[in-house]
Amino acid sequence: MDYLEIANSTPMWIAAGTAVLLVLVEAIIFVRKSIKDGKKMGLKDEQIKTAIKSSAYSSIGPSLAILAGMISLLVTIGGPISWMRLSFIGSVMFELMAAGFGTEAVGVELGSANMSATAYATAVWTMVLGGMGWILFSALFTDKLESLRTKVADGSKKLIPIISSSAMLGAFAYMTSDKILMVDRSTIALAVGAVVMLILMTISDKKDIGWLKEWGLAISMFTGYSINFCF
Amino acid sequence: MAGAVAIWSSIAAFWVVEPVSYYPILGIPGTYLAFISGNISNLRLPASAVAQEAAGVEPGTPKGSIISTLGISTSILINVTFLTIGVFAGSAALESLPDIITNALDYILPALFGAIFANFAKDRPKIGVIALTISIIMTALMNRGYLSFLPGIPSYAVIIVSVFGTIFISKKLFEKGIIE
Repeated sequence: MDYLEIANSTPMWIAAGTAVLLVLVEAIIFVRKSIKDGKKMGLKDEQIKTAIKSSAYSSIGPSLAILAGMISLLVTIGGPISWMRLSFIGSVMFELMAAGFGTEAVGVELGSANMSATAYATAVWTMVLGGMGWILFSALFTDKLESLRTKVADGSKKLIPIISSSAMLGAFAYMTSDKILMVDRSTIALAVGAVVMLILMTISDKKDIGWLKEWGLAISMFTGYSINFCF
Repeated sequence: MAGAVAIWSSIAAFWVVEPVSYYPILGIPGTYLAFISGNISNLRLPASAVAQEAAGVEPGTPKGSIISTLGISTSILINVTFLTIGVFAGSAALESLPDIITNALDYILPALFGAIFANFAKDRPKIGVIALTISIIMTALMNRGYLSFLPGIPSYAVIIVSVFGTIFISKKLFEKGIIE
């Protein structure tokens, strides 16, 4: 049986759909609960609206990028799985790599004419097993992370936010240094994104312009990637 | 299994480093939501960070955690909508999108990471500089093959050293009073 027939078959859609539905339902539940609890904590309505708007605008760019990644996945492993992997646990940056490793393990190159049902199954297994690590770790250890953080900070209250910032900045420095060293158009995109963000955030802080904060990330990303069209 | 081992060796470091690094921003419910929906560094984290910044709440506080959860949930709703429309529109329709858009998409990630890094670094520039220096050195080492004695693709070494190295150095500098 042609593997694509299996990949795109109804049972696959149902299985994938179940996972996606789970995530959607959770998102909706969390939104409603957050709004309720937030108001109880004293969060103002404008803060809640701003939070929703800013994350919505900031999600558009990355969602498009993820969509682009899904297209490549679509062609090789079919609709249901690509849809599922990118809505549920997976990360666009890793899924293609994982699928590739999977097919290589049975001696087939991802997307080539030799793709068989076995290769497809292996690819799926690989992606899922790869994603499991994240889920296992965060499920088991998230509650301990808070005590870990305090321990590393030796209980010093001032040190805690410093540790947190260091962790974040370390992680994102890693994400950016690769592109910095490549010194190509993505470096330009990166630098422009960073500079625009800095400018926008500083202005919105000084002049207290709310909408700028909501649109800030989206504008920085947009400027960053469209700069490349000027040359 | 062979495929699984290959992918595990490449990304296992991330299983540990990502929750540890992002948890302070995401908050507890945020971390759960983010990991269950995936795409953290490129979508959930920015959504959480931007939401908290825009609402003017401090990450790590209960209010911050609520706003972060809101931000992440919103990103899920948007993302899943896009993907669902996309998958049903079919690859043919998507492939006929003008080349200009598809080429640009390559540059969204660098722009995004640059912006997010800048956003966090502006509050603590010294730590930002440390983090960047460490990771540029590590990445350069890896690119020139100095890290190839390590199994698999050593990018996990880069991220581990970047994150924990930055933490360690910042802690030392704090004790000396250079950072507060």
